[in-house]
Amino acid sequence: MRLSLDDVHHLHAGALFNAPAVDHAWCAEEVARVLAHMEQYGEAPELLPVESLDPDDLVVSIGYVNKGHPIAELRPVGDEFVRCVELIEASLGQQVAGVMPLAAGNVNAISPLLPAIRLGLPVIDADPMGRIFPLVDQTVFTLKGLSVGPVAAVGALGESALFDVERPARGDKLLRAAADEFGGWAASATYPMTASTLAESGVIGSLSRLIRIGRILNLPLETDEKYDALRRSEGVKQIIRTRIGDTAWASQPARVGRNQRTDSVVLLENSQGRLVQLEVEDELLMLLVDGSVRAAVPDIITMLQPEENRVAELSDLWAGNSIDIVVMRAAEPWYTPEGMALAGPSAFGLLTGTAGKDAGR
Amino acid sequence: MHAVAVSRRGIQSWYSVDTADTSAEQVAQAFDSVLAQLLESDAGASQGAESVVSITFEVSELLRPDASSRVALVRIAPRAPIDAVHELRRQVDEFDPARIIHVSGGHSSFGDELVPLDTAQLRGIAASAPKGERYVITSVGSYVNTEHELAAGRIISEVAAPRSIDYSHSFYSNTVGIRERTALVNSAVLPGAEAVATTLGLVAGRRTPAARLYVTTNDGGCVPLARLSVNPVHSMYATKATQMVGASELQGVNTGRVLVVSQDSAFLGEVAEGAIVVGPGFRDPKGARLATKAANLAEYSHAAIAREPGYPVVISSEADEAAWQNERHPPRRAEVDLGALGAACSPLVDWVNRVVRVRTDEQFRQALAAAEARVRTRLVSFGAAPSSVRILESRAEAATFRHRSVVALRVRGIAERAAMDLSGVERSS
Repeated sequence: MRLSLDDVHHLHAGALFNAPAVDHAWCAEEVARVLAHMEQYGEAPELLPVESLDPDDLVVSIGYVNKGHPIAELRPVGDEFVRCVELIEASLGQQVAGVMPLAAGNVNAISPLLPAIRLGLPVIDADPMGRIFPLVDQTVFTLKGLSVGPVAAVGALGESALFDVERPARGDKLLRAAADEFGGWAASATYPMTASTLAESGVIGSLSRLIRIGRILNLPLETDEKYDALRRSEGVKQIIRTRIGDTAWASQPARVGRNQRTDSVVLLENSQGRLVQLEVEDELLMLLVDGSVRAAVPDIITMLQPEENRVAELSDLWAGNSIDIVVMRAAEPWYTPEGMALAGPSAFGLLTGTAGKDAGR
Repeated sequence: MHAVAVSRRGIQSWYSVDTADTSAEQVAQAFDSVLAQLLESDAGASQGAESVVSITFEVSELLRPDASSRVALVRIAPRAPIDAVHELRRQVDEFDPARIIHVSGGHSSFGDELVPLDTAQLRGIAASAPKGERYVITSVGSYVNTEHELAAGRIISEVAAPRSIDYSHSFYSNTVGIRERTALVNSAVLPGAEAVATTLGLVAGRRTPAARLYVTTNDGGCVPLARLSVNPVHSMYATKATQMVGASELQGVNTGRVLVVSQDSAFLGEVAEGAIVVGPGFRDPKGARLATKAANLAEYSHAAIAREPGYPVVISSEADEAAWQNERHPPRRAEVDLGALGAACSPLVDWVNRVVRVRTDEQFRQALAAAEARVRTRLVSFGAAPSSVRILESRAEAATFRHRSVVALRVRGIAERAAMDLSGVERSS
């Protein structure tokens, strides 16, 4: 189906819901570019199920990989993803038949739309994560033992690289190094595979799920009515509503092998004095209330601002604000032992004792 | 506009005027007249003039965009966008630039040069530019390294005879669009702000030469009036914050929430340890994010107030009380002008927001200590007693997908001004 302007707005809301911690300005600017193109040129991105492709058709995931300036500081000029796809095509000697997002959340859920229009390709309704994880190798493709490469990367300065790499963990390291040298981020093309492999291995229907969620979020309903609709449609559970009385942030040094510091934010909830703790590493990893784990990765922990009826972001975690914290189940492969090892709490250094074994289930 | 004079004897003069269609000169003339009357009634002009220690102005309504001159936006980035879609121009409004000039340059998040500034290109463009334009200069990475913005400013000053130059690095954000928008807004209101600051300064200087002059800010504080001629954007949205300061003072709220009902709006604010809570982000009435520190005020909603009982409601003197007779939140009508009271009570404020590169916790603590020292020094230079300075916040700001050794610091300091006699104001115990 061709996405309408409304669909893009819904995808925007759903993408933020699935990944609220990343600065919303990144996503807003990407959406602004897509909408401007659609309005100016009358061209709309096409969203297709993977089954619409021939089994041997080539699909590639595209998305931003960051280390340094955010894309809202060092803005893309517009040719980066097209060149990534061209590099993959040249490397494999095969035309790409469809693109999918690197992650189903925030800016990376939006990033395939404009390149797809420019390349005349459909956006495939699937992705490697079903949410956002911090690392390029935290994908269901890694669980299946698929190759991440060849990997193409293009930066804001116009520089490019093609990595002949198979192991996804190495793919993340190489892309992260390229992003650093490119000035802050790399537009990337990863996980080239056939449509049949994607159909067997990917998280299917993830973009249409985001549009569904966004459509509910954009309805003119009270917040509690939206929760009811999201619970029925997507199994979303509300964990806690908090009027923040105070906050405290603790930033810890990055552990060896990790890209990021792990931040801990503690909210003092006003009405009952409960302590709400969120562990953050690029995304919300774990929620504790009065010291008890209430949710943890791979569950999708997200936040809404009930008074303004919108998805909240980290900057909303501030005294005087109201925040609802809600949880949604991630794609099923993440709840297998292999999935938990790759992207469960212990993968982030959380709950490494016995108490955390079942977190996220 | 509000102006509040405080004397050594604690006498305060409240001056409020509707400035919707009033020029800076007219406001200054009216203020001059009021100030003259005050001094004459205060035990003789000479003694009165010497006894006035400070005057604080709240001038938000006077800060209007200048429609008489065009603004050219110079964007410094490694590459120019390939099409108009990637140029990301906002919808046209009074702050939008007349034209955008793309110049190669920019720095990384460590401050390293990504590509050299194309000075030859910029000189060529500046040479053919109309004289007397306002300029706003933005550069990728200028929140870490200002070199390219300043170099571009020097070239434009030399070649283009600009009316003014605003730099995005004057405003802290690691999103270039937010810095850019803030600089555009600042540039647009700067001519009017300069006129206001100059005329008010002249009048006050003539009548009360010893008085320190302050202007209220969007965060519920105040800074020396001279700052209005540099960064007026920080005083553009001070009205509600100042009213909130007045309401919390009136109610004697040290920590907690207050609902203020003014003539045209109702809003909730949070007070912590005697100071208004300031959020990390601010959107202007058009929804654009600005890099200015502003009080964290939420528009009143029935759902919110129904869920959260127990905070005072203050009705401003000009607002209608009838709609707010509510058992859970019995309102209190302010007998004084909340804005004027807030201006009198607003503390001196200063911020440090900067990005630092640290590898150890020790380096992080040192960076925070240095930022706190800078805030303390500046507050004392504003006229605060060193013992009155309090550091309210000192921390790292949240961010995602950043470089792991890059940390954004946020330090906020305030200083209560010389003791003010508010005995004439009815307050809660």
